[in-house]
Amino acid sequence: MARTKKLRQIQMAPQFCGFSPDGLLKNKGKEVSITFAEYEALNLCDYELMTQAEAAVVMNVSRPTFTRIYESVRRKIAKAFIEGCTITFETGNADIAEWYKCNSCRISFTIPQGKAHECPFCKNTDINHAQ
Amino acid sequence: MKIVIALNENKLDSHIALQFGKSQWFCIYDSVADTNEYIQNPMQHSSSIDFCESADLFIEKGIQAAVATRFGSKIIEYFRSQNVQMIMTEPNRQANSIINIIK
Repeated sequence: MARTKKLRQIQMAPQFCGFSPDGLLKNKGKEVSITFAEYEALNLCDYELMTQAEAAVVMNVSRPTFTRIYESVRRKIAKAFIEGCTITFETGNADIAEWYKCNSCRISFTIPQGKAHECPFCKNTDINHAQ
Repeated sequence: MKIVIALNENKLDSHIALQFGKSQWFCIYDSVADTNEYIQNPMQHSSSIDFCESADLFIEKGIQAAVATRFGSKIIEYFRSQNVQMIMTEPNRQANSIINIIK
């Protein structure tokens, strides 16, 4: 039996659905799908400037697994750039940390232990899970 | 309540910074004393690991909430462990609009 994959820890999912190339007619079928784990790997290494070893710890995966995820996302982005593909995000095998969204003032926030389940700004209790 | 707001400039009409750890300034607002203090971010070009090591300063000052447009993964992990609330707003918002709400 195949071993079950460990969930990749993601602190924040992307706040948008994807990217599309400018100046091209919509290319049907030309689409690259990036998982949240791949997005997070790129974020940690190339935006937050962590080493691969540090990023692997944050994502709760081994160093070789992290390297595989990171190489995968870089190849996908290169393909999308060169071939003019649309990039879409998908959840994949990810454990996403909890964020909430206020339906009144539209801010996103966390709720620390012992704090009321309400918007920190407008005190509205009409809140949803953001992801 | 004490909150830290990530800002582009050290003034109250400054816009909220795009990323907490990469912001140029922090404003620490105390709603009880109605005072604010500006701190320059010396780690704005460093990695998020290095920034987190300097984030103890906020805990020592008794910060209960942090405001930015976005937070990095490492600082999210750190603030969660310290029970600090994180609030993400749109980038065109000014610091004084947030302080007026908290007051």
